[in-house]
Amino acid sequence: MPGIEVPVGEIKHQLARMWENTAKSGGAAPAANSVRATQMNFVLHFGFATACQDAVTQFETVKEFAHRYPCRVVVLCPLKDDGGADEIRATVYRECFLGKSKSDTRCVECVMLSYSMKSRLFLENQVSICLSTDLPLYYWAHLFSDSSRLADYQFMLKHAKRVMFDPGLVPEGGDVVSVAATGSDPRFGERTFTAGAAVSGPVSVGISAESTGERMAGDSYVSSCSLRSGGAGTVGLVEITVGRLWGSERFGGSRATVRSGGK
Amino acid sequence: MAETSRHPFLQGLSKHRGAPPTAVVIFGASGDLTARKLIPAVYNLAADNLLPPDFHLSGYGRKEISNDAFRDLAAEAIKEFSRRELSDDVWDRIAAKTTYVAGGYDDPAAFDRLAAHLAQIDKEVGRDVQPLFYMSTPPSVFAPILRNLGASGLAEKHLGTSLHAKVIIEKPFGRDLESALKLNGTIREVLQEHQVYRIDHYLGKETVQDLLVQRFSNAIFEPLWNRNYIDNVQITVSEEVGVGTRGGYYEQSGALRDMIQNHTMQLVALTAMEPPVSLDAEAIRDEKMKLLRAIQPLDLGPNGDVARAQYAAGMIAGKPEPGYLEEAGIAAESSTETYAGIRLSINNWRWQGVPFYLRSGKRMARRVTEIAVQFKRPPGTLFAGGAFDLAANTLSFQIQPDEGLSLVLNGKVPGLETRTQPVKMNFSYSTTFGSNTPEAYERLVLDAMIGDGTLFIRGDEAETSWKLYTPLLEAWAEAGREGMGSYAAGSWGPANADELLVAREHVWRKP
Ligand SMILES: NC(=O)c1ccc[n+]([C@@H]2O[C@H](COP(=O)([O-])OP(=O)(O)OC[C@H]3O[C@@H](n4cnc5c(N)ncnc54)[C@H](OP(=O)(O)O)[C@@H]3O)[C@@H](O)[C@H]2O)c1
Repeated sequence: MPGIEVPVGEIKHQLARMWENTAKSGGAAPAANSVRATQMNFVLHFGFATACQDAVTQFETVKEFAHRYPCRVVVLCPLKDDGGADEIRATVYRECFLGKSKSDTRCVECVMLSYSMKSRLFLENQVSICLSTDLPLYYWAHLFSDSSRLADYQFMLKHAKRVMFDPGLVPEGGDVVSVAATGSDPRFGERTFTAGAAVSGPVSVGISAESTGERMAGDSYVSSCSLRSGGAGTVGLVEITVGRLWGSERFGGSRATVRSGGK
Repeated sequence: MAETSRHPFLQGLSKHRGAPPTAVVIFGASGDLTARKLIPAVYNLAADNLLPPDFHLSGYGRKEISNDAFRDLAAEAIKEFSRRELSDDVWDRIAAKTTYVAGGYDDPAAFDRLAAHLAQIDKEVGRDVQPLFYMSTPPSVFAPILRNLGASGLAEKHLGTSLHAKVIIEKPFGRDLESALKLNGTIREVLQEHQVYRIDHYLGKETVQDLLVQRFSNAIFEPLWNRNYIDNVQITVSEEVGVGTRGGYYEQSGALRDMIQNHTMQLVALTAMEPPVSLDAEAIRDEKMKLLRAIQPLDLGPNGDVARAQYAAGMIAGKPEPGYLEEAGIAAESSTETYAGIRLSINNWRWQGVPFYLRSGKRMARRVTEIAVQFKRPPGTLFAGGAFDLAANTLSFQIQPDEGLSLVLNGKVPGLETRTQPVKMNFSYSTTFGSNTPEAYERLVLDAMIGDGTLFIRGDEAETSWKLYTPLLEAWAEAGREGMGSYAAGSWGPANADELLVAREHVWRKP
C-alpha cells in the first residue's frame, strides 16, 4: 500500500507536512484547506483472510468511493506474523482527484494502521483519534475468517452509521448482524439486532432486513440494507444502516431486501 | 483603567499599549514554570513592544545565582521554549535590566534586601515603578512570602496610586475549602483584593476569551442559549500524558483538584453565565459568581453525579503504556483519581434541567480541551432516514489544540433523493489568523501589569468552587479505593463515567 510510515503519534503532523512539502516542491497540491474534503469517516477493516493483492484491490475500491464521497479513510490491517509484538504502526497517504476545473479538485487523506493481535483491544481508541469528530462513520469489514472476531470491535459496530459486510464475512447460513453484535452491551445492541431486525441468509445469496414491533429509545436497529454492485454478477458492498432510536417509535414492518447477482 | 484617566497620547490606543513602568519579581525563579512560560512570556511581550521602556525583571529564590547566571538561564529558556526565536536586539533590552536576588521565603532580612533592590530601581528610573510579584513557587511557601511582603512593606508599596504593588498567585489555590479560606485569609491580612491576581492560565487562552466574544457579540446565539434549545453541554479537558516524573506531586492532587475544580469550572462559568453589564472585571466576575452559586450540591451516592477512575495499562500513540499504579512514585494502593467525571445541575431559569457533563483525565486518547454545546433535536423529521440520519446540532469550542469553533448542521447529500447527513462548519484560528498567537501567560502577565483582573479568579470564586467539591474530596478520601473505576491508557475514559450520561441517553463525545 502506498504512503509514508510514521509513528502513530505523528500521524497528524505527517499529514500536515505532506501538504506543505508538496506545495513547497511546486507540486500540484492546491491550498490544503480548500480541497481537503471530509464528508464522512470510512474505516476499511481487513480480516486475517485478506491476501495482499486483494487488500490492494479493496483499497482501490475505497479510493474510488472516496473520490465520489470525499472521506477520511482509515484502513486497518492485522499483522499476520507479529512475533508477539505489542504495537500499532501507521502509514499515511493522501491523494487528490482532479475535477473538470481546478475548483473541482478534492483531496482525501488515508491512514493505515497495522496492528498486532495483542494490540487489537486498543485499536478502537487509536482509530477514534484518526477520525473526523462529529461526522458519520462507515465501517467495512472485509474477509474476516471468523465473523465472531468482529466482537472485538464493538466501537465500530455500535457507532457506525453504516456497517458493510462483504461476502467473505458471512458463513453459510450465518446471521451476519447477530454474529457481529455478539457481546455488544444490551442497551444499544444485542436484543434489537437479534430480535428486532434479524438479517439472515448468506450474503452471497441474499440478505434481508425486517423490523417490526415497538422499540425503546436507545435501541439499535437495522433500518435498511442496500447494495453497491461490484460488477456484473458480484456483490461489491452490502450496506446495512444501523440506527439508534432517540424516542419511542413504532415500526410497521419495514422491510429491505437485497439480492446478489447484479445491479 | 478608565480611558479618560490615561495619558492623552494613549487615548484611543489599545489598553495593552502603555503599561506603566514595572518591576516584575518572580519568586521561585529557578523553577520549571519560570523557564517554560514566564521568561518566554516576558520576551515575547518585549518583541511585540508591549513592555514599558522602564521594565525590570528580578528573579528571587533560595539558590545563590548571580545576575549573569540568571540571565544565561533566561536566554536558554527563551531558546528552548519561546514561540519566537531569540533575537539579540530584543533580548539585550531585557537582559540589561534583569537581576537576581537570593534569599529564603521566610527570611525577613532577605525581603528587606529585595525592598532595597526595588527602591534602587525606582531611583534609577527617577519615578515610581510598579512592583509586580509573581509567586511561582510550590504553594507551601505562598503564605510565608505573603507575610514577608507585608512585613517588609512591599505589599503596600505605592498603595493608593495606580502603581500599587500587585501579586500574581499561581495555582493550586488551596487543596480544599479550608485551605483556600486560609490562604484567602492570609492574603487579606496583607493585600486588598484589587492587588491580587489568582491565575488560571486557561483564562489567558485566546479561545477561552473567544467564548465570550462568540456568546456576546453574535446575536444568533443568545436566543438559543438556554434550556429550551440546549440539550446538554460537555466539557472535556483530556491529556495524553501520564504523570511522568511528577508522580509524587500528582498523588497529592488528582484530576479533580488538578483540573476540574479550577480550569473546568472556569469554562463552565464562562459558558453558562448571564451577559455581564460591561466588560469590566468586576461585572464579569459577578456574573461568574452568580452562576457558580446556582450549581446544585453533587449527589455523591451510587448512580449519583460523580465518577472517578485510574488508568490501567493500555496504548498511546501505538505504543504500550503502563497503568497508573505501575508508574514511578505511585503507591501500590493509591486512591488518587487520574480521571474525574462530573454531572452538574444548574438551578436557574436559564439552565434548569440541562446537564453539564465535565470530565478530565490523564492518559486519554488525545490531548484536547473542548466545550461542546449540544442542541435539542428538531421535534419531528420530514426526511428519509428519520431521526437517525439527523445529527444533533453541536457547537464546539476547541480550546486546545487546533483552536477554533465548529458547528454541526444537517445538510442534503447531493443527488436525486433527499437524504440528509451531518456536515461541519469549521472556523480554525490558525487558518484565519495564522498560528503565532500569544501564549496565555503573555496576556495574563500584561493584564496584571495594566491592572486588569478580568482574566483572573476572585477570592470568592475560588471558595465557591471548593465548597462544591470539598464534600466529594472528603467522600473519596474516606472510601479509599472503593468505587474507583479503571480505563485503558489511551481510551476515552471509564465505564462508570458513561453511566453518568445514561439516564438522559447521552454519550460522551470522542473529540
Ligand atoms: N510547571 C508548570 O508547568 C506549572 C503549570 C501550572 C502551574 N504551576 C504552578 O507554578 C508554581 C511553580 O511551579 P514550578 O513547576 O516552577 O515549581 P518548581 O520548579 O518545583 O519550584 C519553583 C522554585 O521554587 C523553589 N522551591 C521548590 N520547592 C520548594 C519548597 N519545597 N520550598 C520552598 N521553595 C521551593 C525552588 O527555587 P529555590 O530553591 O531557588 O528557592 C524552585 O526552583 C507551582 O505553584 C505550580 O503549581 C506550574
